[in-house]
Parts: sequence; structure tokens; C-alpha cells
Amino acid sequence: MTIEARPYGTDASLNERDYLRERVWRVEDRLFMLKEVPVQTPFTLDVLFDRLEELAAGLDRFAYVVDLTGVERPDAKAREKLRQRAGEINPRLAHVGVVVGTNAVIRAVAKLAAFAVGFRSISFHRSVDGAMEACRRALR
Amino acid sequence: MHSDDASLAERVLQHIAEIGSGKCSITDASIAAEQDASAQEILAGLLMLHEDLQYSQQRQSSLLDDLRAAIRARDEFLSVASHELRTPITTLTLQLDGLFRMLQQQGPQALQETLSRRLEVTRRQVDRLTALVAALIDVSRITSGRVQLSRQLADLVEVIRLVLERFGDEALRGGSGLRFERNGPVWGNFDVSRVDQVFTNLLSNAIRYGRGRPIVIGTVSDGDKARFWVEDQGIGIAPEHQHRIFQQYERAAPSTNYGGLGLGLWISRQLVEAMGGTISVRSEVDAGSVFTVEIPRNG
Repeated sequence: MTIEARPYGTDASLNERDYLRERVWRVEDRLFMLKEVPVQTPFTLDVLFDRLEELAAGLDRFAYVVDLTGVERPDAKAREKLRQRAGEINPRLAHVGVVVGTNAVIRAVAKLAAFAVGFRSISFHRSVDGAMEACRRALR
Repeated sequence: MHSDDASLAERVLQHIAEIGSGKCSITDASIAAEQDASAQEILAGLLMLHEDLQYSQQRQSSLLDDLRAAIRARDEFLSVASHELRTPITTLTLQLDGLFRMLQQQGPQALQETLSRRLEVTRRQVDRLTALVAALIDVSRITSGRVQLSRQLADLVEVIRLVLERFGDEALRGGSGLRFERNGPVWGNFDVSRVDQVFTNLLSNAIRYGRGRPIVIGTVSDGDKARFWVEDQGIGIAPEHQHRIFQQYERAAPSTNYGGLGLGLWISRQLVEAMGGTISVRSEVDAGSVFTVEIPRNG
């Protein structure tokens, strides 16, 4: 099963919720990966951030890479949720590595969210490897 | 400054002016048509700023609508409440005036029967006033988070049976027959007085809106839950009103035809939820309603 390019909401099946949760995983100690869905909605953001918080439970400092390649520009409602959820974990974040590929619009989305939330340490990358390395450096 | 930069700066200022007046001519397509990545970022940022402002205005407008609806509901409540409180007070005043006149005109022996009848009416009106004031006190307790539960081991069937006993005459006056379906005791740690209050509210609604047709009451034990329900065959509730009958001051039936403050079901829902349970309704216009309450047996 794959996550389709459509807005998932609270009517998502249990399987779909599981697939959404599987898009967040632990890469190594204190470093997590979050592969965003094509269409971000308040629901998908809640599922993904809930999973991230679950994995990072007990850690006072961690970093994550978020892969936004192939993601559509989120609407205002989703952006508000993104600011809220990212703001909640911000105090514990050592770094966020954002993979935007070459998409300037998504880079603008991520920058606006970062400025609004007040991320202390954020970097933008074309590839996941570059973002991972930036996170590892920040965690050292 | 590079001439391209100057041109971009001018366009950005134009867009900002546009956004300030609630419009925006930037689109995803126009952003995609830009050659320069920085320009794309800036324009996307402006478009999102515009969208965020629009969204925020929509939300404010929706909150304002909710606020207006709440004020309307409050004003209607105050109007209904003052009417509801005035009716028993008027009756009480008339009864007391009548008693006073009788005491002045007739001897004590002849008065006994009349006095007894009048005192009965007076007592009913005092009970009604007491219930109205109790509802207002409950609202105050619930809204300030001061509902305290006092659980004890009890049989739900017995709690319901005692209420039914109390309601026997009223149900007969309303023409409704009461049938109690149960399979056996339903023991649990219940707040007996709150369960009594919720069931009393549901039953009095069933009598009031039940058009004098039979009312079925049921209890059942379902694992760690206890369930009771009240089913009438009365006027029913239209689907569009079903979601709001559990809200404060809301009522599905017109206050001109049916009395009450529009608080009973809201209070019931708050009490049931405080007990960790749920209350729900199934209803069809002109066919009747079934109100079901499910509460944990062990608090």
C-alpha cells in the first residue's frame, strides 16, 4: 500500500494510519527521519508528529530530517498545524534538516514555518544525505 | 542595485499593497513561470501570507458567528427562564391570595378540603420552582467545574425502579404507560443521585414529548458497562436538531408549545461524561426517540 497524493483525514483507515506512522522512523540515537506525504493536512501532520514525539519520548535533545521532495504546497490550515506541532517540539530540537530538492516554493514553505516557529537551527538541502550530515554535526 | 532586483522589489511592493487590500494576483502557475528561484520563494511567501490572512479572517468570522449564536441562545434562555420562573410564582401568588381570602370569609372546618387542594397546587409549584433553581445551580456547578461524584455500590435496576415509582402518577396524568425491560440486577459503583437525575430528566422528557403513548425503559449490563435507555413514541427530533439538543440552552421543540429551560439534556450529558460515560439519541420525527446512557460499572 502506498500513500496517495490526496488529502487524508480522520476517515483514514487503520491501515492508512499505520502507513502514515511508518513514514517516521529512528535513523540512529537522537536522529529521526520524517518522510512527508504528498498532501499535508492537519490530520497527517498530527499522525506524523505524534509518531515523532513517540519515538523521541524521553529525549531532551534530538534532531530530525524532513523530506519534503514531492510534497505539494500545503494550505493555510495545514501550515497553521505545522507551526503548532513544530513549535511544541522546538525547545528540544538540536537541528532540523529540510530536504526540499530544487523546489523553491517548498523551500519558502519551510522557511516561513521555521521563522514563525523560531527554529534555532535549520538547514535546507537537495538530498537526504546532506540533511543527515547537518543533523549529525549539530548533535555532536 | 541590479535592474532585475529593482524590478522584483517593485513587483513585491505592488503585491504587498494588493495583499493589504485583501487581494492577491499571485498564483502557483505564475510562481512556476518565474525563472529565478529567489523570486519564486519571495512570491510563494507573499501568496502564503495572503492565504494565511484570508484563513485567519475566515476563522475570526466563524468565531464571531459562534459567539453571536451563543449570545442568541443566552438571550433566548434568559427569556424562557424568566417566563418559566414567573409562571409558578404567579400561580403561587394566586393560590396564596385565594387562601387568604378564604381564611377571612369561611370558618376553619369548611376550609379543610379546599385548603388541602390549594396546598397541593402550591406544593407542586414550589417543587417546580425548586427544580428550576436546582437546574440553574447545576449549570453554575458544571460550568465552574465543581461537579463532584459520590459513588457507591448500587443496583442500577433498583435506582431506575425507584424513579419509575416516583413518576407513576405523572406518567398516568400524561396518558403514557411505562414498561420496564430488564434481565436482572446491574450492580456497579454508581453515583446514585446523579444517575437518578439523568434518568429523571430523560423520563420527564419522554412523558412531555411522548404524546401520551407508551414509554419503554430498559437496563442491561454489558461487560464493564451499564446501559439504560428511555424510548418514547412521541414527536421525535429532526436530524438537523439532534446534534444540538445536548448543548446548553438548546431545545428542539418550540418553547411556546413545550416548557423547560433547555438545560436538562445539557446537564445530563455533562453528568454522564463526568461519570465517564456517554449519552446518545436515535430519533425520527413523528416516530419517537430513544435516549441511551452508557456508564462504567466501576466508576
